Amino acid sequence: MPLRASMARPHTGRAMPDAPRARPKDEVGDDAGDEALMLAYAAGNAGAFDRLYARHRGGVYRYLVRHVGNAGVADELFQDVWMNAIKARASYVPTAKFATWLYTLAHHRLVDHWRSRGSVRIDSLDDEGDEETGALVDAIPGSRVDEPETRVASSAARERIDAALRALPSAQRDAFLLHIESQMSLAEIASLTGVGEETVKSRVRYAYAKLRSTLGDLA
Amino acid sequence: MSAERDDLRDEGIARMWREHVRDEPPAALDDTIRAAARRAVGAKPQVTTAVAEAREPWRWWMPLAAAATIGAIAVGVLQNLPRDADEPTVVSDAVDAQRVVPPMHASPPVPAASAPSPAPMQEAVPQKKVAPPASAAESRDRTPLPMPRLQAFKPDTAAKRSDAPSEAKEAFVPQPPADARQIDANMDKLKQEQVGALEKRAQPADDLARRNERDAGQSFAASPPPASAPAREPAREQKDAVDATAPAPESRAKVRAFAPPAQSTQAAAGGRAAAEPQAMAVTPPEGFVAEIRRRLAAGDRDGAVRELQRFRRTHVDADARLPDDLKAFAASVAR
Repeated sequence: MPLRASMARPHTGRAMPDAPRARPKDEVGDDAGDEALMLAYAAGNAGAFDRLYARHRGGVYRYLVRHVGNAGVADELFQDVWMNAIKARASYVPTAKFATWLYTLAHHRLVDHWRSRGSVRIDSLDDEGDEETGALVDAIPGSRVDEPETRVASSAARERIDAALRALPSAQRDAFLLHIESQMSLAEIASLTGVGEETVKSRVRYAYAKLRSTLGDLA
Repeated sequence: MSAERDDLRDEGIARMWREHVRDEPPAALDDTIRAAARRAVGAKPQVTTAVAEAREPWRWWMPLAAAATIGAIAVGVLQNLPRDADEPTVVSDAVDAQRVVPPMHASPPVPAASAPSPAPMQEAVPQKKVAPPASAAESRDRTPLPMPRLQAFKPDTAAKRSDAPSEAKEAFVPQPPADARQIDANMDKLKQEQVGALEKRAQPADDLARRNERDAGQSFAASPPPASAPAREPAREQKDAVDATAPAPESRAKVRAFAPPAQSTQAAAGGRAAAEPQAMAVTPPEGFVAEIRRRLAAGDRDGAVRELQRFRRTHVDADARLPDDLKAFAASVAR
């Protein structure tokens, strides 16, 4: 099944019943949720965006850089993700969590990047049979962490983590990164990636298991 | 769902992830994205106060700065103007000459024997007041006589003009032909006025000579001693006036600077040619003869020689006009 064809768009579903309404400018509380901040930003509150950005900048960046393994490319993708979020502010409807919407943008941008490189079998990403083969890992450009311009830290633990992450199939790696960085639920990850929830659950479980077996002494 | 998520979560892996994986986007990227977000909603960027003040369109000191700039430009322009613009031009020289000459014209046509020197001329020529003539003989023998126009046109000004940068001089060269014609017309007019004035004054001089002859009926040797010098002042005035008609060296140089070379030379030569015969005609032959006799009688042979030479310069047939008793003396003086 093509990855993008079945991928749900962030705000095409029903509105969340308890979705916060847009507040006037500068009336967003400190404990406001992401959705309220995004609505406030869409209403013209630039400060709300700053808070929103501060909350998610690290997770989105790590999600991207762990996938592509190249800081320069990750920077480019990261900027594109946030620019798309800024452009889509007016059409933003809190049908789901803001994190889901934001990581969906990041995932789409990542897939577009791979597609533009022409070096990934997109239709195999959600193939259950790839979990053990790891054949796609070598085909993903993001796994080439040995590029000279990489900005990933070179500590031994980091190198081991990166190596273990590279060893994961891309679908498992994607599910693991979304799970650990975005704090999304399995259903949200399933919605984002366009696969079933059980599939996501299986990928996440496999990913954790492999990482523990490889990095057990660090954990 | 959250419980299901927690079931999958491996705390050891999560802790290891938090400890070792701390990648952050670069600060420049953060600034870019935040700035884009602010621009998108039309919000002003959060900048420091100094930068915000610098970006405000109008500050209190801007009018002062504008005024200071305009003042500086004005001072610079004034200082860069050619200095000759402040100095008299040829036209103004003519006006100056007219301003100096008319008092001489206005003086009595036949000055009395004790007529004082003309006051207006002294005003125009302060240097003459500083150095009055020591005696009549000295003042008579002094050549060349001070020229009113020369002194009216201050030497320091002429020196400044000669020292002026070449571009300042050249600034006058490309003047339009209309100005050159006006300059020439003014010069011609001035010369005509001065020649006319000299012609008028030549008559009193002749009258004076005739009266001296008539009164004395004898040689100038019996004429009053140097105490009567004021009586000779009109003659000096005439000489001054005659010299005034000829352009002073500085004035001539100025004329050459302002007018086409050939034209200025012709004008100067014509002016002198027209003025010198008039000037020489003021002393009749009898006056020279009387003066030569007086000097010989006084034992001043050198003075007599100078008078004879002046007589010869004035009159081509000076030796023929000499009386017989002076012809031997004239023969001893080389021409």
